Amino acid sequence: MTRLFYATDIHGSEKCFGKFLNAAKFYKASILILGGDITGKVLVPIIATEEKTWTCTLLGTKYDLSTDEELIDLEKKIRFSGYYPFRTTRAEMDEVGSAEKKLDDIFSRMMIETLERWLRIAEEKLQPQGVKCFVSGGNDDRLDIKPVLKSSRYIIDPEDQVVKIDDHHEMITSGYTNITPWNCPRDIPEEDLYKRIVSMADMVQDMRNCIFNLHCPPYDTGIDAAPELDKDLKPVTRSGQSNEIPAGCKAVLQAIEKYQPLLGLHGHIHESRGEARIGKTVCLNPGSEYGEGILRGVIVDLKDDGVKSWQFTSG
Amino acid sequence: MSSKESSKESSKEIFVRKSSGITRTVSPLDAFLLNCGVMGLMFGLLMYSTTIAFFSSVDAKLALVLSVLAMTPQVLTYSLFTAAMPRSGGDYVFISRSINLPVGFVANFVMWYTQLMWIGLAASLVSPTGVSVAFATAGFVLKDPNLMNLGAVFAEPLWSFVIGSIVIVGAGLALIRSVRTLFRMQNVLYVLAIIGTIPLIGLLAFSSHDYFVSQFNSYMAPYLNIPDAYNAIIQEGQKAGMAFSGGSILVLMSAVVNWVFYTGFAYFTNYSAGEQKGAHRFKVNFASMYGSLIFSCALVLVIAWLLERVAGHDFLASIFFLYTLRMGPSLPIAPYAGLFAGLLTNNALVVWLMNIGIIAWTVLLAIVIYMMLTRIMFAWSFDKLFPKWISDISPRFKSPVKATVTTIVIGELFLAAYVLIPQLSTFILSGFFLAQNAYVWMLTGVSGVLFPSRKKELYQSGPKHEIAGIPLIRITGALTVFQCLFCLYFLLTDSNLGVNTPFAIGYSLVLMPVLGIIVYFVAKMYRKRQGIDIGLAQSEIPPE
Repeated sequence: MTRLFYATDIHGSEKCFGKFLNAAKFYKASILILGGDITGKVLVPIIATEEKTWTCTLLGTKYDLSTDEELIDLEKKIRFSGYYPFRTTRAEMDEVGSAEKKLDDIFSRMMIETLERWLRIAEEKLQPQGVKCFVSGGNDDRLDIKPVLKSSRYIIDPEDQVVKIDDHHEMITSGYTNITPWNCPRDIPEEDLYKRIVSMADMVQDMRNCIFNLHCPPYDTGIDAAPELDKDLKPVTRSGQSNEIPAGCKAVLQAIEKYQPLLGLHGHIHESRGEARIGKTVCLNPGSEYGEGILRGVIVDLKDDGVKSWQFTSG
Repeated sequence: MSSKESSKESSKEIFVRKSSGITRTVSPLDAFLLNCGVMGLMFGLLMYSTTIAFFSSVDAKLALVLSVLAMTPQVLTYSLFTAAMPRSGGDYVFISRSINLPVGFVANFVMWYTQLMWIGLAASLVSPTGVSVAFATAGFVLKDPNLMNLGAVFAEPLWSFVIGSIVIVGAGLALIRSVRTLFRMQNVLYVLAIIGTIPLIGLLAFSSHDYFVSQFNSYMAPYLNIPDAYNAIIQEGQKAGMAFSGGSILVLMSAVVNWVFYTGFAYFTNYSAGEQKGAHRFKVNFASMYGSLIFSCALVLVIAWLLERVAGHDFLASIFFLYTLRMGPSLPIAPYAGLFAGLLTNNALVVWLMNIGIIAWTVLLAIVIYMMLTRIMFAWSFDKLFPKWISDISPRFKSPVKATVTTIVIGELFLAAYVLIPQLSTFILSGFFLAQNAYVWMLTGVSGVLFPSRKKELYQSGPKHEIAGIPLIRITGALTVFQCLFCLYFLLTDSNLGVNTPFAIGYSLVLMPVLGIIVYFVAKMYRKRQGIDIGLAQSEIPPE
C-alpha cells in the first residue's frame, strides 16, 4: 500500500511548508504532493532608519527593531504568515511605491529566493527519509519559478509530464486553470488547458492507476463553488446572500469524464473543501487555511489497484 | 523589540500583488442579523414569561440586564477565537485544537443534540404563541366567537404538532431545494418579523392599564364566567404562594441564570465565520455578536417594560406561573405577548400582522438552527466521525439532502415527544441549560485559557490582545469558566429553574456526553479497521 499526502495553495506560508515537509513523518506518508499556488502575495517592507534600526508594520502592529536577532525573528514571523519580508530603505520604498516594474522585480526576487530556500530545506529533510516529494506551481504562480523547481536535485516538478509516483501509480500534473477574474499568470482558455491535459493523459500507460494532479477542480462538482463576482470583483448577492457558482474547469471535468483516472487531486478554491465522484474517479480538494498557518490536506491510501481510503486533515 | 498597535495601516506598509483571492461575502451586518435571528424576539419574550413567573419577587428586567453583562466574557472569548481561527468553523475546532479532538467532538455533539431538541421545541411553539393567538384575538376584535374558538383549537397539542411539522418539514424542504431558497425564506421572515414587532410595541405603548384590564376581563368573561378575571388571576397567584417583591439577591441571581437560556446564544456566527468579512478582526466579531445581544435584549426589555406598564407585574407573573403549572383558572389559549397586545386594538388586520410577525420570529430560529446543524454534521463527516453519506450533496438539488432529511426526522421525533409528553420540556430545558454550560461553553472557556500556550504559534500568528501582558483570551476564558460554574451552581440547587431533578441531571450531564463519547469511539474503531486514524484530522503538525 502507498500512502500519499496532498496539500495545496499554501501561498508562501513558510509555516505551512514546514508542516508539509513534516507531514511525511507525522502521517507516515511515503509520498508528498504539493499542489500549486505556492508563492506569496504580500511583501512586507522592513525599513532601515537613520539610527541604524529597523521599523516594520505587520498586521496592524508597528515594530521597532534594534538587534539582528529581533530582525531575524520578525522576518520569520512574516514568512510564517505567508508574506515576504524584504529589507529596504525609505528611498527605495518611495521608488517602489511609484514604479510597478520595480515592485514586480522585488516580488519575483523574493519568490525565487524563498523557493530556493524551501527546496534546499526539503531536500535536507526528506532525502534521508526516502520520501518522494512533488512540488508544482499553480495559476497564481509566476512562470519564473519553473526553472527553480526544475533545478532541484531531489524535489520533482511533475508538471507537463507523466511521472511514476511508485511502482504502480502514475501521475499527470498541471497548474494551469481556466481564466479567472484576476487574469493570473497561468490562466488559459479552456481549450488550451484541455489540450495540455490530453497531451499528458495520452502518454499514461495505465489510466486505472493514474492520478490527475490538476490545480483547478472539475466544473460544477461541489468542490469548485465560489462566490459570483461582478466586473468590479465584488460578490454578487441574491436575496441578501452571496451567489455561489461553480468556478471550476470544464476542461478538467471533460478530461476526467473521458479518461476516468483513479484519483483527482485539486485545489485553487480554498473554501470548497470536499470530495466528488465523476464516474469511477474520486476527486478531492482539501481546501486551504494557509492564512492561519493551518495546513489542510488529505491523506490517501492507495492499493495496487485502487484507492483504499482518504482522510482530510487540518494540521 | 518594541511594538505598538498602529491605528491604521498606511498604504506603504505592505505591497500586495495582483492575484486571485477568495472574497468573504457575509458582512458584519449579516452576521449581526443572523445572531438576532437565533436569539429571536419571541424566544426572548418566552424567557421573560418564565423569569417573571418563577422569580416573581425580583425584577425580571434587571435580571436580563445583569445576564447580558454576565455573558460578556463568553462573547469576548468566542470573538477572540473566531479572530484567531476565522476559517475554522466554530467551537468544535477551537476546543479540538486547544484541548483535543475527542473533547471537541463531545462538546460539539452535545451542542448538536441540544439544538435538535430545540428545533422540536421551537416548532411546537408556533401554534400556541402565534396561530392560536392570532385567531383568538382576531375573533375578539371582530366579535366572532367561532374565530375565538378556533384560537382555542389551535392551542391544543395536536395543532402544535401539525403546525410544528409544517415548520420543520417546510424549512427542511426549502433547504433541500437550495440554500438560496432558505435564505430567501429567511429574508421574508425577517421583514414580516420586523413589521409585526411594530404594532406589538405600538399597541402596548399607547394603551392604558385600565383599558387592558377591561379588555382582558371582557375577553375572559365567556370562559371563566367571572366579571374580574384579571384580579382573580392575581389572587390565584397569591394563593399559590407567589411573592411579587422583596426577593433576595440569590433569587435575583437565579433569575439571571434563567435568562442565560436566552442571552447565551449570541455567538452563533462563529460557525459561519469562514464566509464573514473581517472575521480575523476581534472587534468586528465582537461588534456583531455583542451588538446582536444588546439589540435583541433591548427589544425584549422595551416590550417587557411596556407589558408591565399595561398589564401589571403581579398579573403577568401570576398568569404565566399558573398557565405553566396548569393551575388556577383554565385559560383558553396561551397567555403570550401577542394575546395581551391583540386585546388592545379594534383592528383585525393589525392583529394578524402582529401575530404573523410573532410566527416569523419563531420560524426564523428554526431556519438558523437548520443551517447550523447541517454544517456541524458536514464537519463531522469530513473528519470521518459521521458516515460519509451525511455530507453527500445531491447532484440534482446541489444541497445536503441527506443531512437535511436526517434533521427533519429527528426534529419531528422531538416535536412529537414534546407535544405528547409536555413534561419532556424539562429534559429539553435541562439539555440546554446544564449541558450547554457544562460541555459547550465551559469547555470553550477552558480552551481560551489553554490556547495561548497550547497553540502558541497559532496564537502568535494572529492579532494578539493582552492586558498587562496576559493574553485577553486567557482572561475571558477563565471568566467564561467562572460564569458557567456560577450558572451550574444555581441550576443544580434551585428547583425554580426546573432542571435539578436526578433524571434531568442524568440525561443532560451524563447521557448526552456519554452518547457523544460512544459515537466517537465507535467511529474511531470503525475507521481504524479502514486504516484511518481519526485523531489525525485535527492534530497539529509541527512546522519545524
